[in-house]
Amino acid sequence: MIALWDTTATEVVKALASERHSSGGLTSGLALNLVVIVDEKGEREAEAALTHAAQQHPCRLLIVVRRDSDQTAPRLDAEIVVGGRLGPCEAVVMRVYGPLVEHAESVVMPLLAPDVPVVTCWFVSPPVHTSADPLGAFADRRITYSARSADPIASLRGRAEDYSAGDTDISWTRITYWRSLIASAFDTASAPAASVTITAKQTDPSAVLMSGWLGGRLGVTPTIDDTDVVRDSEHLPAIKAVTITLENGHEIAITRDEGGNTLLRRTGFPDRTQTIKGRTLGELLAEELRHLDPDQPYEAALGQCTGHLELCRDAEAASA
Amino acid sequence: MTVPNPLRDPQDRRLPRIPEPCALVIFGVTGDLARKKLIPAVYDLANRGLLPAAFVILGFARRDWGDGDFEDLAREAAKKHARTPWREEVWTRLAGNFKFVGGSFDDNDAFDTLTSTLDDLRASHAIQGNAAFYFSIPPGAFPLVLKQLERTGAADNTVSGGWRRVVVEKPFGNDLDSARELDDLVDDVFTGEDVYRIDHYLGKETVQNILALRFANAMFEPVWNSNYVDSVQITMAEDVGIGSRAGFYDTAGAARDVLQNHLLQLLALTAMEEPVGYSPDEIRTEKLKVLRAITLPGDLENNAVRGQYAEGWVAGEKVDGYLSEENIPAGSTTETYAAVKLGIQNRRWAGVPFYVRTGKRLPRRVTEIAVMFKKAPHLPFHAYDTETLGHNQLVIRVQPDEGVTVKFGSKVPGTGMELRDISMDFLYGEAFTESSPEAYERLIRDVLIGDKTLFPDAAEVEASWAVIDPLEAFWAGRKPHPYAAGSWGPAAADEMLSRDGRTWRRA
Repeated sequence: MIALWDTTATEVVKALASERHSSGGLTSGLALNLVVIVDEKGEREAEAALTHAAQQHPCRLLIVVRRDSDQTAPRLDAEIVVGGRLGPCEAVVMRVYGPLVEHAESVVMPLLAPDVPVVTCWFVSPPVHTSADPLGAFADRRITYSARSADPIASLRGRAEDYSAGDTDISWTRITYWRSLIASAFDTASAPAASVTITAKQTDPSAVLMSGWLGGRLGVTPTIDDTDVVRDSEHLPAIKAVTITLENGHEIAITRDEGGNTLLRRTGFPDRTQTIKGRTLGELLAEELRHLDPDQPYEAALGQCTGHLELCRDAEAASA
Repeated sequence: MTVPNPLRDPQDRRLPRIPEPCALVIFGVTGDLARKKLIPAVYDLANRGLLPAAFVILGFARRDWGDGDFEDLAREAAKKHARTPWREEVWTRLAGNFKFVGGSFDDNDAFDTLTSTLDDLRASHAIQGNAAFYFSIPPGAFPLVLKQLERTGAADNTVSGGWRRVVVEKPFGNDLDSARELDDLVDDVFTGEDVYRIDHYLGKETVQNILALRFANAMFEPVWNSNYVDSVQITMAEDVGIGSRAGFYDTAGAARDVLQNHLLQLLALTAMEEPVGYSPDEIRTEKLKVLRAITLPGDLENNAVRGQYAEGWVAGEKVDGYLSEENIPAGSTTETYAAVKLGIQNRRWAGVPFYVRTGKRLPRRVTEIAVMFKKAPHLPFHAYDTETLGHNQLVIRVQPDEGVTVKFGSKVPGTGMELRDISMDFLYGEAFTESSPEAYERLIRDVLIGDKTLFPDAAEVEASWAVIDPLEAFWAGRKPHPYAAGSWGPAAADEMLSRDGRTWRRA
């Protein structure tokens, strides 16, 4: 590890090269640049998540930690970790102060590994326009986390207004297990869906995206039955149950209790239990990094639930 | 009636493809393969959320067991050999779904019980009559079990009201005739379409990557022919001996055990023409064409070498020779090493030798495909500067260190123009997710989904035996060359290449 105090990006580039050299070309097959924006208090959690994600996706990890932006003099402190505490990646942690907080891209850009995809991830409240943001403009994929905003639903609406190909939101990643369960339960459906009820917290962006997805795919408008949902893990969606009534009166219902036990009931089939456990931020991020191309199902679900139907049309056109 | 599921969207790659409700019936469930590979693979699939909610594992073996005994064995096996971390809640979900039927293969009652158990599961576990039968048993028992499944109607798709598939492991016979007999029998009891022959090499990511490397890129295919390729070396080396497989191994030998299946499949993928599409039938068509085009050299004496390990040192331990292994008859002439020069008679490969070799008790465990390119037609440098310059190589490392290496000449820093080979590496573990699925994990899932892309069919198996049979006929009655355990095989194999002006790549 090398620590540089009050330094410049040029010094950091040199130090990274020398650290790579001395560790013996540890990550020669680099597939990805991951740029992460965090604030001081989120740093520890972000590092744990990134260590997990880097286990599965070795990358060049550039962590921008926003420090005191009121300070008048710009300042950069950097730490270079190659194959150390952050897993099998080459990482640069950059702590930026003062006006440099607004110009962090000038530090990040020279550090990007050439010609491999860039993923930018905001663990803080995302900018209004992610793809126009200096740290988002050069990214192939942009990952936000609406559930963490002060007003999650407004944030989700912002994501729809601002959508560009390559965007996703962790609120969507959170419902993959749910979606997978619902999709396989629907394999045995004997008729088209007539109505859908989602028992969930209305202000949870994951629940809203779920209604967008089900609404778009099944051609019905789901009802969200507002309930407080006790969650045993921070990154679980606030969804308690999803009930689909079919046109022939049959029902498919999935209910999750606080402990994660999930009951699947279908008319005409024996009940099944499954487990849906909460995942860590690192596991969710690892799922995101698996696909580097635009996620059309997300685009369609986002458009559907926010009334931006042009997104649904675009998504459909892209898959045709 | 079911309708197409609108929630399934090929674009939606986050949602895994999950098999329909079904049962996996394992014959010989107490054996090594079942305990070390199959059951752990089922756990890993469950852990990754890739099994349907309605899924039953039905074990069959000659044991006086209840369902609980089987579950205990399975739990222990999964805990010990699974690839993914142990999670109690995953197991708890699987736990109620273990069934066991005890009996021998000639016991009609036991098979009647097996069939009625499967029928009962339809109602109690909603498996909809779907079942895959995994033959983890000695090949000698295949006919018996197949006839039982035929007798009880358990192999019949219409009788059972779902799909019924059968999975067989190598060896698929021990020569062309016995393979044909076996194929006829299996295809008769099941339909040809429902027969899955497992060659676990094809389940490896690196092997599937051969097709990606060749057909998804622009820069390799133009030089992938006799104009640019000097020769190809395919190696599968093991450091272990025959272990507890003496009985089977002594009747088979390295050529039947490894060359006939794994090595010829690797050769087929390396040499085949581009398939019309990525579908099982199209790929099989091309593989079959190239397998049929394989020829043996006229001079087998010098181009087909057999070896047998003598005592020696492997990885710091003194090990016995083959003849001193337990249950090996004195004077056995079974080979533990085979190296053959093969040709492929088509426009792309005419004149390019494919050297394939396999052996036990070699210095390390490695499987690789090395494409050796011709030397540059002219070198404008001084001869003394290019002394250490070899052939350009493209090496596909199947295992371990899965990846691809490209080897080419480069200038040595300094005032002169000295040239030397350097290598450029792509390592799976670095660029992609840390742990690729185990081959069995992938293949079991494919069987349950009904995807036959990675399974060789009867015609391929027969074409492979057509290559091996003349070799075995030539070797019959001859003694294999001895080689010291821990060496890279008999000297005769080195001479085979040096006569052609080549050397084996140290794998």
